[in-house]
Amino acid sequence: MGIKVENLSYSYSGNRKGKPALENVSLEIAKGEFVVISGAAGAGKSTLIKHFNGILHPENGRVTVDGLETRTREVRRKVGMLFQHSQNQLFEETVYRELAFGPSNFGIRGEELDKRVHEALSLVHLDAGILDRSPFSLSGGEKRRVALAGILALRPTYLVLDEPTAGLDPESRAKLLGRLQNIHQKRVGIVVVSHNLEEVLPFAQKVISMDEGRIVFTGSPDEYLRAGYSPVPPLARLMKELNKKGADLREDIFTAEEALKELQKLRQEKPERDREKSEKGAAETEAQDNA
Amino acid sequence: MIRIEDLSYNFPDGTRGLKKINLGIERGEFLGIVGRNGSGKSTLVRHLNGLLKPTEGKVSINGMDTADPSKLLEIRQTVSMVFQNPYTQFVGTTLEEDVAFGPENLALPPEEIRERVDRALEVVGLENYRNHSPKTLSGGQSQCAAIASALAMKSECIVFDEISSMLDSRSREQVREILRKLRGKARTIVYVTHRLEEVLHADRVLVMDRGEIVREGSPKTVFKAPELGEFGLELPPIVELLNSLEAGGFALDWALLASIENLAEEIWESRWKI
Repeated sequence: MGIKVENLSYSYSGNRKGKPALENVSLEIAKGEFVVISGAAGAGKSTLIKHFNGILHPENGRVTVDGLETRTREVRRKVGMLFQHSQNQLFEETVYRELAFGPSNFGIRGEELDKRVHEALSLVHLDAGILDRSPFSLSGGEKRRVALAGILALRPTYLVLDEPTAGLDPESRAKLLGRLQNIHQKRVGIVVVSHNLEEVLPFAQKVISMDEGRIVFTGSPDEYLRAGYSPVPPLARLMKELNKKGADLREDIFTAEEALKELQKLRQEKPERDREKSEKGAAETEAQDNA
Repeated sequence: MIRIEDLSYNFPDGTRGLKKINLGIERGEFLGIVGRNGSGKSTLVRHLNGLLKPTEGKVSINGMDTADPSKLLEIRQTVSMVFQNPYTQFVGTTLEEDVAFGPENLALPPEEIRERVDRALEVVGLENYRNHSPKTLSGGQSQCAAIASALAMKSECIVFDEISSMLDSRSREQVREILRKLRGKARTIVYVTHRLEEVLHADRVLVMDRGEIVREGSPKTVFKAPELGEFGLELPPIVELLNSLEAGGFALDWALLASIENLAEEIWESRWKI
């Protein structure tokens, strides 16, 4: 089960002679896993994820979701996809209809539909007051949340997000990441495409790194940082530097609190010579004071 | 060089954008302006070259009032802007043409234009892309190209408005490197961002919230303020670590943040203080 990609290759038809966008890509994403896909612009990340719910179909190779071919309709429900400028994904007259759109396409009606709408709304922390408003009257941040809720209303098994934090300020970013964590705790598999790794790595169980249409790395966040595929965030780099000097610290460190805890392992007695020096210093000051 | 007195600005729909801003910017200063989305940072810097005119108060650039239409051209030659989305700023069919566009409008001699374009592309590391179409550049490269266009104008002051928010970490690093080079050239830099780590080495930092300047000072003093969270900002974890080490009696020199290697060295040598 899970999302399974086997020997996938793909090139955009206008670019047949050029380099393929994806070349012989194989990967597996388990149910409930939190995966980050990283890589520079143009590495093939967005092309890859568009294969997860059948927006694109493999030229060569095979993609299945929980054993289903991605041409099946059920896959569109199972794999919810939030694009980078998700605020532009909205089109209905009211927020309610926006959220009901997905589930009603899958034959959900009446009370059950109403329940789905409210459930999705609460997952993105919006109140019911917003349901009668036009999506176009909302702020950018609210629109993004409504777009996310619209996807959650389908109760997806996997949620795929393309650069979800791009352009958000720290406050909105922290809130969004908190929401993703909550959704993940409900056993929804999460796949995030991001180039702001320091933000998403702390939540990730697995990192897949792409370059020029190929997968160049798959492993844990810690392994990823050690492998040096991307500029390492400052705290992790500090730990790495200290390890070079003989410390034995974790390198997958993202918060000041974690870092302080690690650094405390280094605490040791004041070296003898320093102690002498400072005692001598103290004695001199004392002598001066007496004089 | 820049003087802002009692500047207030209301948007056309009447909402208040800026409230009684007073600010002077020195020649050669690197000023960081931080604040959450909607705090007024961009509105403020759009006054620096007359893109917006004060509703009340006065903005002057080298003594020229931005409200005086006859000075506008000279003001725009003095202050260049680089925006978040450079794609919308491209005019040339090749990168070279694009960078030359501004200097050509200054009616400079061709040799001078050539020289400026070469120099600017070199500073941002795009000399090998001079004949590429600006549309084929990646996000990071486009941002560098926009910086090159500003450099070729040889303006005294360059304003960077949230240029890093769409960049990946590698391109951000590259832009930071360019900024370091610019600082050596005594240009005045105004750098707007919501990432505090990008203004760690500024001469001065302003925090804006709800259209007002709410904190001002050296990065070191501003980043100690416990209330930054209320303004929707987040301290870089590495700064937070330094602050907590200091609170525990282990003060480290702020300048060490410029090099993680040196910081590690210092911590390792004095690890008994942790």
